[in-house]
Amino acid sequence: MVRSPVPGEAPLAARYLPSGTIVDNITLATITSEIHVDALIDTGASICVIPPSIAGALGFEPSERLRQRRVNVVGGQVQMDIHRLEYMKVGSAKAYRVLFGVYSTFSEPRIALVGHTFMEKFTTITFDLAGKRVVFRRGS
Amino acid sequence: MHGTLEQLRDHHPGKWLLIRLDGSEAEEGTLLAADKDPERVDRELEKYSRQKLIHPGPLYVTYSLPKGQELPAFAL
Repeated sequence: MVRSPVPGEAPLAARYLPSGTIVDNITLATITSEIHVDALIDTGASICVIPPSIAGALGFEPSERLRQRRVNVVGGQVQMDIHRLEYMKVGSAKAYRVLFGVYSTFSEPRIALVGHTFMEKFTTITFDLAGKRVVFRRGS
Repeated sequence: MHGTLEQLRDHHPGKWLLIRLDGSEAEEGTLLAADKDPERVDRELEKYSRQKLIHPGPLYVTYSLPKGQELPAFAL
């Protein structure tokens, strides 16, 4: 049974504003462990992306990937191993069974990317830049 | 060193930090590693993630952006 997502909100990290929509301390969880990282909230990303070092520490092995997928990134296409988290929590918003790709998206690669595979669990995503928060809602 | 996440970041500007949180929802934790080289923090993360049965608190990897410094490339 797939559990329902939990609506909520997360403060945007003040030290990165106004340019970066980054949230501190999101939770990446498997059945047996969790690791916290900072993450860029990217509405243009089709999939969540986690750096290889973080995926490895969570116990995801390349040989146990669900599949591989070609993903468009800046500068071209890359092939990513696809895995599934038990849940991902961004502030108080929580979604279960979230697919992600393993890839070093950034030059300083220890930050995650929250993309569509998390956001699709909600119906409305609001960037409240004046309030320095991002809100994930469900329903109309 | 133990403290709030803000205190730990403030003590190590310009570095990647590995922190063991006091709990899943905690805003405090213990600093395990601080280094400008993220690969060194990776190695510490790998080491400590193997010890999760001994120390069950979640690990947190974060970057301490120095005050007044431009955004790093990953945030652009």
